[in-house]
Amino acid sequence: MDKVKIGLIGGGISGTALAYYLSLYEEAEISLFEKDRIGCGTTAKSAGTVCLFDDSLNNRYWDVRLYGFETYMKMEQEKPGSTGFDKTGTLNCATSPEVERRIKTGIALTKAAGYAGEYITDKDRIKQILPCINPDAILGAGYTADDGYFDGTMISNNFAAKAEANGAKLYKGVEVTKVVVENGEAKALVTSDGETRAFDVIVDCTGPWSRFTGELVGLDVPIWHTKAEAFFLIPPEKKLDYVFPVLKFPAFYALRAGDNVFICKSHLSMDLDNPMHAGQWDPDKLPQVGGTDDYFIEFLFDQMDTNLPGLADSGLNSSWLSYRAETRDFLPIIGDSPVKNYLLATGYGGNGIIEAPAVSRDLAKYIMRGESTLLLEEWAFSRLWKK
Amino acid sequence: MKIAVCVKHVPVDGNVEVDPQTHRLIRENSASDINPCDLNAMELALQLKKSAGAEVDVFTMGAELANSSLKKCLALGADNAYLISDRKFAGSDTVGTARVLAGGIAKTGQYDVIFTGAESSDGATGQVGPMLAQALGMPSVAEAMEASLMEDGRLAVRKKLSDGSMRLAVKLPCLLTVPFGCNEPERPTLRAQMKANKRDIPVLDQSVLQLDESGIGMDAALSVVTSLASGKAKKTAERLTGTPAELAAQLTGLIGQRRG
Repeated sequence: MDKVKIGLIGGGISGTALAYYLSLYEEAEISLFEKDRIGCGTTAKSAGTVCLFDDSLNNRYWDVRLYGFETYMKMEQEKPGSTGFDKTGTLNCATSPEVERRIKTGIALTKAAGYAGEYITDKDRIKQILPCINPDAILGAGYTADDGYFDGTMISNNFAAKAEANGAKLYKGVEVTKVVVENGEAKALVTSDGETRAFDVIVDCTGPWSRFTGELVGLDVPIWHTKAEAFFLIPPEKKLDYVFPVLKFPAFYALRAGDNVFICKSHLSMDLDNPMHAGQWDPDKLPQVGGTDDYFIEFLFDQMDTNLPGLADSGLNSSWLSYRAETRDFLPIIGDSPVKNYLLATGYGGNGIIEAPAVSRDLAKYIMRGESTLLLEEWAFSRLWKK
Repeated sequence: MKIAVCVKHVPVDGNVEVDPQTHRLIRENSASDINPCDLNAMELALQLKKSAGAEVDVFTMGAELANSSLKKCLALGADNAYLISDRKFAGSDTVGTARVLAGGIAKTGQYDVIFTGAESSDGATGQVGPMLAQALGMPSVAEAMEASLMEDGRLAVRKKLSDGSMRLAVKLPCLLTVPFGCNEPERPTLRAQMKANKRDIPVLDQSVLQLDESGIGMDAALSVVTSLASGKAKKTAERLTGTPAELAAQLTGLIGQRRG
């Protein structure tokens, strides 16, 4: 049986999930190159929320969300504690009739899949779930107790381990320094260990690094970096004496982190034309902690003062900044590129943990069988060429 | 009572670059924050403010980006903050830094107690605090962990010793250096930080301080850094697997090995 040699660049959620799904095809010969450690880049700074319904991904792609959630739940069942799952439930707040309608659609889809979901307008009940909220600031809230958040790094390592068990080779601490392209066709990868390896297919899974990785093949990957500025708040009472759910507002989201509350601006609220929000930066220069902007404190305070007055006087414990890789339409770039045999699985923005399982499942099938799917067609690079 | 706190804005991540010619840190390229034990000094100052009633002024010497540390101190409860900054101050060694800080502090008023961190996380000389006391002509106590005002107007100080502590009564004015970890600093609240971010920080430059330039800056430095070498990080992490009981046994074994 002829093997299909596949080189994956990047060991975050995108690369490791794809490695796993490819490894389910016995003729796939997979090599994954990660210049640092598995799941240590943007994936490590992801909040890991995979909620059954929220606004991070349009309800049009709800099956993508469900597949991601159930993939991780099965992973968790296989090896309890291995995904970092914290079943806090989600409270999704409606700030306008449009948002309310979207939440109610999400609840219907959630219930259709056999999970719990309800739309609550009783203010006392909303405050019961989240005591620090101002229920007068919202029309109502969608609630499910069935979901929560995961740990992106743990999931990536699980995928990597499963892929490795199926025969994939993982090269950790090995950087791709050159992509050999001949006659418009990607042929091989040159790596920092001095090796040159030939591949039939090469996939860029480098997320915020894709601008730089793309340059190796002369490709202008149309992603922008948006700032994910995350703050860890110490509630005024120092400890949370209730289960703080994943909290979704259109402008921000929050979740518990031990006794602290993690808060981050939502990725869909980013304006790619606002230099405070978006630009082209170097992810390698991101500090491990700090790096956030003063304007965000003001934004955060306004949001807390209006929506979560119980947190407005929280202490600022720490903060960090990471870069999301966003396209103009906030959807990823999956599949073929103008360079033959050089594919992309990048631009997940803030949704890599949610989307990677379904995308990787479909992309693996496309690579191994040449069969596309509706999802791949909608998220193809070609949609951005036309624009 | 008037209290001054001197803080330093230091790099806090691994992206620190060093100028190959001057061997000085290129601070603009790394995330920076307030020096850790300066937060302990700030906490002790705020405790004294609370117990004795006082005004707390904060000083730092550095470039404009050091304002973020000053604003953090304002958010924590400092009343005023001053940035001591001028190209002529750049490159000062510890003696020069102490002279510049003394000039800034003397310019803004008479202080009863001055707090500094015991040492900075980047330079770690531990010299600036005692030198500042010398420059201002006041006694100093190193590694002060507690401070409270006595009825006779002296300061009751508990000083850290290698195997215990010592209690002292110190006449004012005095300077205390504060060690890392001696208290648990409060965190600024969102509300306070937002207000502090809107404050203008006065700059005390050479035109304001009129310091003797023969004793400050790079040319006056009595000691210079001639080279810097970073330690190599060792990736020695080991993943332990097993049942909780097995993990506990493995951990016990590893601790035993380390202890010899």
